[in-house]
Amino acid sequence: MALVRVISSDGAAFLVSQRLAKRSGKLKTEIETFRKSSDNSEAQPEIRIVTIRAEILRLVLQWLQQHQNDPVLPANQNEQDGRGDAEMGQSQWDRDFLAPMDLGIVMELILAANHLEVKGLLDITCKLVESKITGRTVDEIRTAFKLKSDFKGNEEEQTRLENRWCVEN
Amino acid sequence: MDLVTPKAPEEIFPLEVWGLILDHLRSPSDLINCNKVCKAWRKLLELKKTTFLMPKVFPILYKYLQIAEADENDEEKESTITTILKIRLVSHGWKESVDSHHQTHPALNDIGFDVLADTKHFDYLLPFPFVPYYFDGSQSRIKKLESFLGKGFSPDSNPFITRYVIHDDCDDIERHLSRLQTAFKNMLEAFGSHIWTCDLRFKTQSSKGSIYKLINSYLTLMPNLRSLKLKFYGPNDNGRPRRSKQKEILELLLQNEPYPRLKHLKRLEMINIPYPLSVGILASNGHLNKLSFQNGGIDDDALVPDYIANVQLPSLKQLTFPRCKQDLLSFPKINWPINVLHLRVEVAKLKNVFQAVSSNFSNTLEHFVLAHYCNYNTIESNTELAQIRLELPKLKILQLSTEFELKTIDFLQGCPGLQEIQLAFKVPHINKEDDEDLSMDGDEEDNSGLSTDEEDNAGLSTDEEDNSGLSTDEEDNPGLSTDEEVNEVIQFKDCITSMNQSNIWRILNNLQSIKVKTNGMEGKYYRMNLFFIIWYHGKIRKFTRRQFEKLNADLLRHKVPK
Repeated sequence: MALVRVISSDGAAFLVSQRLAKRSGKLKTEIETFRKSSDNSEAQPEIRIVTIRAEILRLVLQWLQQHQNDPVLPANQNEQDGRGDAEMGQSQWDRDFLAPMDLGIVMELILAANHLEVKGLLDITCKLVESKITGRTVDEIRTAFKLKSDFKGNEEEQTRLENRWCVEN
Repeated sequence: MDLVTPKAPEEIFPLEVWGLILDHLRSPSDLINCNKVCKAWRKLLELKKTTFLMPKVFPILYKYLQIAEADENDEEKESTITTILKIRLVSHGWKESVDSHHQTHPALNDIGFDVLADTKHFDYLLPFPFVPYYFDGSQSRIKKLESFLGKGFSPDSNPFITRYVIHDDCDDIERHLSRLQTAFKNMLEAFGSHIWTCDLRFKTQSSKGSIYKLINSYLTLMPNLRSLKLKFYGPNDNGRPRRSKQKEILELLLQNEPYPRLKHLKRLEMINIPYPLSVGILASNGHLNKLSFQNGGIDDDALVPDYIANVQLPSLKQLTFPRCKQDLLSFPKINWPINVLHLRVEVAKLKNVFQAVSSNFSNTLEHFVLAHYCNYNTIESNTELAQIRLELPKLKILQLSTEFELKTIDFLQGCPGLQEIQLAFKVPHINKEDDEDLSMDGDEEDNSGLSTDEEDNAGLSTDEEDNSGLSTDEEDNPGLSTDEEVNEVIQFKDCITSMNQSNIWRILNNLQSIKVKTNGMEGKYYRMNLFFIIWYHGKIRKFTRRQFEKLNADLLRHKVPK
C-alpha cells in the first residue's frame, strides 16, 4: 500500500495511505506535485502542513478515515460557496465526533478543513458554529463561545447604532 | 534584566502575570501573534481562541451563512444580515472580523471583469449583504443624510461598515442638488476620514469650474481613500471644453488648486471625466496601481487621449478599458508598466486588438482579459486571424471571450510563457475540408470518450488499444523533429472534448491548464501531472515532465532526426 508522511506544524508525523490522503484536495495536489518532481516513482511523499498543529491534523485524518468510503465530491463542487454537499447530511458518528469538542477546536478544524480542502468536514463544522450563533441572543453566543464582552466605554452602544443605521440605510 | 539571552516566559514573570497581561489584548491580530510565541502563551490564550480565530473563520462561515439562507428558505430563520450584525455585537474582536472582511473584500479592490463568469461589472462581486451607503438626489435620501448627523455617532467611530459611500446626483430635480451637496459635505467633514471607497457620480450641468471645486472639496475631506470611482453621466458635453476661455479657466484652477494627493489611493475608475479634471486627478496621484478609463468625450473620442497617455504613472500595474468602441487601429502609445490588462471591445477586429496590445504591452503584460463583441462589419475570417500573432512573451494568463467563431488559436504562438488559457466563444462550425490541418490526431469517435477527469486519467493510459485515437501513422503525426513542426499549427478542432490530445501542450511548454467554454459546453484540461504520452520514434512513449521538457528542448535545438 502506497503511503504518505503528513507532518504537522509542530513536527508530528502521520503515516497514512495515499488513497486516504487523496480525499483531501490539498494533499492530493501535493502528492501529485511530489511525483512530478521526483525521479523515483517509489519514493514516499512527505508533506509538511505548516498551518495545522498535530492535535487538529489528527482529528482531520480521523474524520477522513471514517469517511473513506463516502463518495468523493468533485474538487470544484460548490467552489463558489465553499460548502460541501449538504445532502450528505450528518451521521451519528459525526455528531459524536464533534460533541466533546470545545468551539475553539471546532474553529481550528474549520480552518484546517478549508486549507486541506475536505468539503464534508468543512460542511459539518460550519454548520455546528452556525447553529451556535443563529437564533441566539448576543449573551447566549458569548456563553457558548466562552467569550466576555470586551467593548470599552460606549463602544457597544456605538456598534448598536451602526447596526441600526446599516439596516435603515 | 538580561534581555539578550532567550528565557522561558516563567523565568521572567509567573504565568499568572503573563495571563493578566495577555488578558488585556483585544486585537485578533495581536492575539494571533502571541499565540505563536510559545507553548505557555498558547495555553494561556486557549480560552481566547474563539476570539482571535474569528477573522480567519468568518470569511468561510460567511459563505456558509449565505448559502444556508438561500437553501433553507425558512421564514423563521434569521437572515444572514441579522446574524452578521449580531456577530458584530459579541465582542470587539468579532466586530473587527466582520468589518475587516467587508472593508477589504477583493471585489472592492478589483477593477476588471471575469469574461467566463459573465460578470459585467465589479459591483456584481460586492460582498453581499452589505450594500454601499448610497446618497442620491431623491428627497427621502437627502433627508436621511441630513438626519444622519443627529444620530449620535462619535466622530472617532466609523459609522460605515463597508467604509464605502456613493454620491449620485442622478435625480433630475436640480433644486435638490445644493441640499445634497451640502449634506454630503457635512457628512464628510465629520466622518470622511473613515471612508476608504467612494463612488462619485455626476449628472449636473453646473459649470465645470464649480464641479472641479466640488470634487476637490470632497476628495480633500477623504484623506484615507483607497479606491475612487468618478463618473459623469453621458453622452453630454463633458468632453474637452470647446471654448478656449473655459479651458483656460480650468487649467488655471488645476494650477492654483490642484487635486489633493491621496496617499492610500490605489484604485481609480474614471468614466467620461472631462479634461482637465481627469489629468488633474491622475497628476496628483501618480502612485496608482489600478486604473480603469472610459472616455466619453465628444471632441476627442480617442481610447486614451494624449493628455492622459502622457501622464506619468510609474506604479500602474492594472489597466482596464471597460467599454472600448474604437477600432484600436490608432491605439495610443502608453508607457505605463502594466502587468494586467482588461479590455472590453465592441467594434474592433481581433487582429487589430492583438496588434494594438502587442505593440504596447509586449514588455510587461502577464495577464490579459479580453471580452470581444463583433458585428457584421468586424467579422473576420479564421484565415485572416491565422496570420496574426499575439506577441506577448511574458503573458502567463489569457482569458478571451469572443462572439467570433474561433477555429484557430495559432495566434498564441507568440506567447510562449502562457500558463493558463480560458476561452469562451461560439461553437465552431466544423468544415472538414477547411479544418483538416487544425484537427487532433486520430479518430474522432475513439477520442470522444477520453475523459478530462484527473482521477482516472483515462487519456493517460499507455494501453495502445485504449488510445486508438493516438495514431502512429506518420502522415497524421509528422513527428517532433521536422522543420515544419517548429511552425506547426496548434490543433484546436474538437476543443471541447479532445484538447488533451492537442499539440498545444508541446508548443506552449509552460501551459498548465486550458478551459474552453462554448454555448452550453465546457472542457477543462490540465497538464498531465504525472506523464506525457507522445508519439516518438514510431511508438507511443511515456515521459515524465522533466524528461519531456528536455527532449523537447533537444529536438528544437539540434533537430534530432526521427
